Amino acid sequence: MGTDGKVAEGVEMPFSWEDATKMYECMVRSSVYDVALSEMQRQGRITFYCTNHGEEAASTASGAAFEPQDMIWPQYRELGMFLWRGLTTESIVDCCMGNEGDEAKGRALPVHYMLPEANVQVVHAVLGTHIAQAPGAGYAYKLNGEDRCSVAYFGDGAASEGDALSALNYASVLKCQTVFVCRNNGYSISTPVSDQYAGDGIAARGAAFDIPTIRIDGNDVFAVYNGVKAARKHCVENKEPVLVELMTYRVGDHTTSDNSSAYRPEGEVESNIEEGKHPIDRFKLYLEANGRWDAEKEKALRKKAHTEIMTAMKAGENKKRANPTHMFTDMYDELPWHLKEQHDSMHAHIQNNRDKYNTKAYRDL
Amino acid sequence: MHRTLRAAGRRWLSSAATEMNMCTAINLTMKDAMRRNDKMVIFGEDVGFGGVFRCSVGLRDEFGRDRVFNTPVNEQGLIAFAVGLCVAGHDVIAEIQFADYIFPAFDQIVNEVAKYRYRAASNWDVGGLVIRAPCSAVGHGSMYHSQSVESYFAHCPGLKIVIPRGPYQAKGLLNASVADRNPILFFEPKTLYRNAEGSVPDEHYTIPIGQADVVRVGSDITMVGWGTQVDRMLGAASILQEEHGVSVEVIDLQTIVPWDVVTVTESVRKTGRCIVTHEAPVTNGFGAELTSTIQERCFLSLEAPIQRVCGYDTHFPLAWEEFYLPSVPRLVESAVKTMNY
Repeated sequence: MGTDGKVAEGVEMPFSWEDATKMYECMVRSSVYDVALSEMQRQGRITFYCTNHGEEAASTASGAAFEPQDMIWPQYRELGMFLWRGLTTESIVDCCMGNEGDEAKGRALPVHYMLPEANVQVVHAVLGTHIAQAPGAGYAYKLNGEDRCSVAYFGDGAASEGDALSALNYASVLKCQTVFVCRNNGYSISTPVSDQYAGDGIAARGAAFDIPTIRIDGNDVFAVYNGVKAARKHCVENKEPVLVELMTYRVGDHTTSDNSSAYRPEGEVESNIEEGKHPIDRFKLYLEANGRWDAEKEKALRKKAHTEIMTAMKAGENKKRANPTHMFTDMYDELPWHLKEQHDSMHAHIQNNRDKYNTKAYRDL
Repeated sequence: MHRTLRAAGRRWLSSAATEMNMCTAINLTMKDAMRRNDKMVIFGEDVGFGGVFRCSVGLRDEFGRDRVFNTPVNEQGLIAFAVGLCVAGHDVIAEIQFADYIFPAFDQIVNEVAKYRYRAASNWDVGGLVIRAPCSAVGHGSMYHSQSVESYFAHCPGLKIVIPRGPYQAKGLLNASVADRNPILFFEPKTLYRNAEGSVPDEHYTIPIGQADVVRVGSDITMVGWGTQVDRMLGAASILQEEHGVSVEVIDLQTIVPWDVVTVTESVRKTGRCIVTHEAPVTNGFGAELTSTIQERCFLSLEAPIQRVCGYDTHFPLAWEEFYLPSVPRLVESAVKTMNY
């Protein structure tokens, strides 16, 4: 699909209109949530946020191309995929606020989502460590003859980590049902790809390990969907890994702790999103041209998305934080003696010093 | 009464037993674990042909290349791969060829293995993982084949660390480690593969993780160590009894984390004196942790400061291994000094 929203000769939409609309809605919600949550960070209502601007197609269309049983290891810029798999607005906000509604009980930073019921592993801060874990699961699925693959999403920066190279080697030599999806968005914080590698992107590395590889325009919903679907099919049918490189562009800052105007040439962002280049605009042009979308629907969707996030925010701010007992749970399957002692000591200290802590903010403290 | 039973525990097993060394005990234990659980997988560098210490001999023949296999020479990838397999529902025994080479996997162990359950709120965990690695001095290993690395990992919450002193302990502790639903680092003093021999019951049994073993009952001074140090402590205890009339209680910690604080502090309250000993360098070795906690809990019982007899704060040297190691003479000297305090 071109940036004019028109598809090439002979290309058909690879999914139903229902799925097309659902995909578009995920992309828009991702964008609306990104704006709202960034704003909330600036207002001090959450401590930190990481946007997905410009990568909505890469994330959503690839997510839609996998099967529900495929186990995904995310990096941290895949909100579209998370939304496709059913991450709720409430979960997003509770996680960003670190309140007791968060699946991880507020242990981690904002955007560190997980979806156990939909096979998405926990987002975590250490870069690239997950890439080499996905092949282990892909190996298990092969051993057990499952119609299932593991997936690792990662960026062009994470691809430089030793774990990324290890992953390609292990997945290829041990023959794992793993699809590697690299979002090459041009930047790793302030580091442009020209400072990240000398070779031909990440796709070139697949050949070194004899891994079937495909490079795709990551802002084209059709191309991403078709390419990833083909990759998955090849992976599971041939019981071997596939490397997918999605070429896209990071429109927003790295996170709310970053100001990319400090290192990006003036006009670069604009030149990457104007005239249908932005993946949302591009897909919208196609939907509108086919009578499936219009300005009224757009307005309604954006309003709905905005209301969703605001409602979740308001509810979230009224939630407490989990009891600090949960600092000690999930460390092991059972609490060992030294953690039991430390836990009891902590609580005794809190009770003896209630006025020195913000005890009201925590459940049952 | 309770302590004596534990120390003599193995005599209460009625089954047949076989004399073997620690390598064979580990090999048979892994074989048994693989038979009991067809979702268990074993891998590491050179594991396929039997391993550089022969611990995995015969496993590939019996269980096939899918379940017993070589990995590329890449420790970070090795442990990451194990994580993925565990998350997908398998149990894994991952072998790191030498504890000295575990460091490329330090990030995966500390930032992933140890944190997986906590950050996933127990929706997933890496409890099915046992990482085995040969460790400690072997007589000629020098800097990169002699290290004892337990204290690097003892500092990391979320792990368990186990070190056997012989074949009987290796089987019982490894069985317990496999059953335990938390990630475990199982460090095997490599010199004991061949040098530690003993009677090992044929039947399946476990030794509880987190339980120390009072190997020799005594009344004047407590010595705490693990792995290769246990034999050295016993050697020193004999000399101290015969030549100095000092009665030494020797404790094998067996589990470094979580360690058996009850057994150790009970002993020190009884004897009033304590030596902590390990091959790893003295500064920030696990002896520091033991010393700190023991003195905190036994302060009023102590007749003398707790001594640490450990490796020096140098790298492990080839030429001067006999001086570097916390040897029997050094233990005897330290005990005499403590008795005379």
